[in-house]
Amino acid sequence: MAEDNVIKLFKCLSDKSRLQILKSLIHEDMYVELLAERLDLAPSTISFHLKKLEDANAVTSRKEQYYNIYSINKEVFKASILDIIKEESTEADLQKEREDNYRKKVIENFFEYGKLKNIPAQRKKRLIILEEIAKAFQPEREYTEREVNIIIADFHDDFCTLRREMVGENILTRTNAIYRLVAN
Amino acid sequence: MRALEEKYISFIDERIAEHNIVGEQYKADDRKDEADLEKVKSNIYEVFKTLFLSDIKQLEGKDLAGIKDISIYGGFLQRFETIPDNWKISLDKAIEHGDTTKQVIEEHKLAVAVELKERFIAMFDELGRE
Repeated sequence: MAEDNVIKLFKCLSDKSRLQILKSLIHEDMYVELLAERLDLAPSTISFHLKKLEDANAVTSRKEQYYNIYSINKEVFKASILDIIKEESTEADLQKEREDNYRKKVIENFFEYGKLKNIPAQRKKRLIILEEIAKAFQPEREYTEREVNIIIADFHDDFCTLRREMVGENILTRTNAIYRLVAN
Repeated sequence: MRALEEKYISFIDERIAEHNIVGEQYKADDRKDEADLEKVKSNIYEVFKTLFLSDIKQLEGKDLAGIKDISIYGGFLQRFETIPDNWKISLDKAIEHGDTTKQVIEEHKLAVAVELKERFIAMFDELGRE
């Protein structure tokens, strides 16, 4: 398990209500209202905790008729803490993890539900958001300027600035008014 | 009006104190996220308390004839429409995108605003014109 996932899981477990939820789910799969009744918590509070448990990969959910049924992810809990501690990380792994975390933070800060809230002033952050937008382009496909604008406009209204930045940062190439994604 | 001010502020202060106590109990019980939700609620009470005091202050020194009472009533009630507007937008977005964490926070904020609005109307009907 990657170190950031381990930390996320341990952070998630360091909460009494979430532990109670897991203790209930170890016996049987349950839906929100049932957990709320058993643990004497509001259904919204249960949903709140289940979301965190799901994000930490501690529980999974499936839809059954009108209900989302939650199950404990036993695989995650089979790993011993000793094994987790013994797992070695190379400096390269740690560096990559730091970069990934930074990238994730920037994306979380500047995007909300897939929309870019504002264009970062700092070049390093701007580059990350441009690379994120670039994921909407298919490799080796040719795009007209209008197509590029439409794709970028899904993220932010100022598609002209972003399009120019993507060309300037060599994420897109422009030849005779045709755009292509630059292969990594 | 003074009676309304005092009673409404005292009600808000009581609610803030209650949520702070519950929040502390949650913290002591290793339920930090639920403690944070209590903090969210008490912050909303604080927001409306500040706005109420600000509206009252604007009327101080002015002629508090009947028409002014109506002004504080309408003016402050309007706050319950304008302030939660963004929370409603945020809630709709959260539901649309399955963001349960945000959804719960926005629901708590809106519930406090509804409670404060209802209490204000009830207290104004009872004391507002005294």
